[in-house]
Amino acid sequence: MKFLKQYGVIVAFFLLFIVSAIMDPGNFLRPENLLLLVRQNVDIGLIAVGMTIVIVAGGIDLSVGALMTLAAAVGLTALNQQGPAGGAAAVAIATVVTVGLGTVLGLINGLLVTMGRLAPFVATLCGLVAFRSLALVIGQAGEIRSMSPDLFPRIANEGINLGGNLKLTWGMMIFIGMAVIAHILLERTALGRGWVAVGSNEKASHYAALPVAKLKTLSYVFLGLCSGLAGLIYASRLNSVSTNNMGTLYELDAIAAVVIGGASLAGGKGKVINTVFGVLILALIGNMLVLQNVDSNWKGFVKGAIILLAVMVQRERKAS
Amino acid sequence: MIRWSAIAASLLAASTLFVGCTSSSAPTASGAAPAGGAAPAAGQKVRIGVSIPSATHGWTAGVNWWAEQTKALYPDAEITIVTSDSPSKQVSDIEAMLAKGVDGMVILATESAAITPVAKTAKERGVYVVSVDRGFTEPVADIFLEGDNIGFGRVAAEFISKKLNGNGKVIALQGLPSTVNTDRLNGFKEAIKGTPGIQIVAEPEGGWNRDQAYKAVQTLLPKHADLAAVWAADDDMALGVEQALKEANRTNVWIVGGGGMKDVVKKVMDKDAMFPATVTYSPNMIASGIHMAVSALRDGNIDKKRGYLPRHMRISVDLVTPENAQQFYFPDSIY
Repeated sequence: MKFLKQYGVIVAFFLLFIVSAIMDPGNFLRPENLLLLVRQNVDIGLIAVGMTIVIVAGGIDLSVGALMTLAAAVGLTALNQQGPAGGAAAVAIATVVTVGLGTVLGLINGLLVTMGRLAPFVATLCGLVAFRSLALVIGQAGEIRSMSPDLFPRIANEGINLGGNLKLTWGMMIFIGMAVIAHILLERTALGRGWVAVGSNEKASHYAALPVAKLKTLSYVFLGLCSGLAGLIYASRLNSVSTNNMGTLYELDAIAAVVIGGASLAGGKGKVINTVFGVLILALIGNMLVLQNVDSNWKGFVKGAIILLAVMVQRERKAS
Repeated sequence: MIRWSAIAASLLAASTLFVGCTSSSAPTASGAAPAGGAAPAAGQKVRIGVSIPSATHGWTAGVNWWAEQTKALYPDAEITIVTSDSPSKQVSDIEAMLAKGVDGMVILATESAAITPVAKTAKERGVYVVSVDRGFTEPVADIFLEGDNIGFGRVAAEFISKKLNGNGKVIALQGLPSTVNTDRLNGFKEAIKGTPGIQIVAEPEGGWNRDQAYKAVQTLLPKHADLAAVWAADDDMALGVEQALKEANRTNVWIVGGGGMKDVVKKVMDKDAMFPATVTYSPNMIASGIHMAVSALRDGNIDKKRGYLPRHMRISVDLVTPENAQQFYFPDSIY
């Protein structure tokens, strides 16, 4: 019972998995399709992992989709400045710039919340519009193409061959790696205990002499890092950055994944592994809607209903 | 707290300054009056307000780009471009321009019905109204330059039916649920119905963007091993489809998109086997609308001209093939 209480989302995932498999076994259960579930959602997954930390520490970040776009737009510009013959050095520069800028923007979010004493919702809402706007300026509202036709796309599209059409891409490995790191940070370190304490009761944490501002800021820095990585993988996947639509509404999908994973938006409670399953549930729903050819006007309704169900399954379990 | 408000205030001041710089630097592209035309006397600049949707995907980014380009062509006119991300925002933006005072308005409506009342108000105040792409629900525009979204789907469907010799399986990739999308998709499906051998196996949603289109088609490909072609309701999405097909080694499947994106037109021109044709729906239609407003207004006599000009023009959707692609290719355009 204790397992169900803590990991209801995993049960919900397997229920949905079985339903999908029964509805369309021929297509859904193809190994290729199952790998796509992860591969297509690496960016949302990375952001959701970071978002779990921020939410556990009592915050929220609405700027992530715009943040990853701005970071990737600057990263690709840096790549292109090395010219068409930039090679591995150019790709390395783009990687450092994208991930580094993501982290710095996360730091700015964190400082606005702590030193600026702004509500996280407000501070990151400003980021949502302002980061997007800066990206539009850089890309003239259009698309920035990478000048590395071969090397840069490998980050998201190449990896370890598992035989046949199956591939464990570098992007997937980065996602899994970050999820493991976040899990260890949250469950096994003083930092993680600090985040939980601040998220559960900020005032008490103050009195307990915890470095509240530092802990909160660090949660945004970690999310910035994750978003930067997500931006890198997105840009690599399409070998370009569309400044006008990359990452739009990613913040809501990421928050949805965290909530499906059972974290409390009030802070203090949440598990990275459950968020990962939250991401997989969203991925499963998306996959099923496409494979079943659901009328696109109805898609949102079906998605909303399934998310609701997934959350309620968990609550039922908890009550028992 | 005081320190922070001071920083915030200076940031705000800096950003206004920045906005001021960018908007004032735009019209300096050319200082001379256009040759041949009778330039209006000093102090009598024609004031044109241009109201268009924000750049939320490639095509609207194209609209923005073309509007800015056209602005530089008419240094003797005072052209103000305002972008709005929703119908309600567009209404207030147009109201603000009317309050400021304009002689003409060029409007690409985010939604027809929602913008009609404010366009009517403009008309009643004696403003010359040019409507581009999507019309109003009442005949309030002096000129309506219509884009043909049903034709967008139809022309592509006719090409696909012909190229497949009336037999084969296709995916119809649609954009976000909207009037434009419904018209394009219905135009496509209606025309396909005429060829019973063509089967639409799926109608996934590509959200007008490359990434979503890529993922949707990537998911569907293993399911449809005998797929012959993909129709995409927009060129951004067509590029996502291309990537999904290439990664899956399904390059025998070809794509017909549309919208006039330069990269796609280039592929057609270069006889790329995956892009045998595309259809036009160029964002430069906003430029046509601005030209019409400026030329109608700047020499006066507007009441007389009204009788000379057509009230309604429809921009044809052209099939772009390797033979004629050159004339639809704008290498400098952002889209």
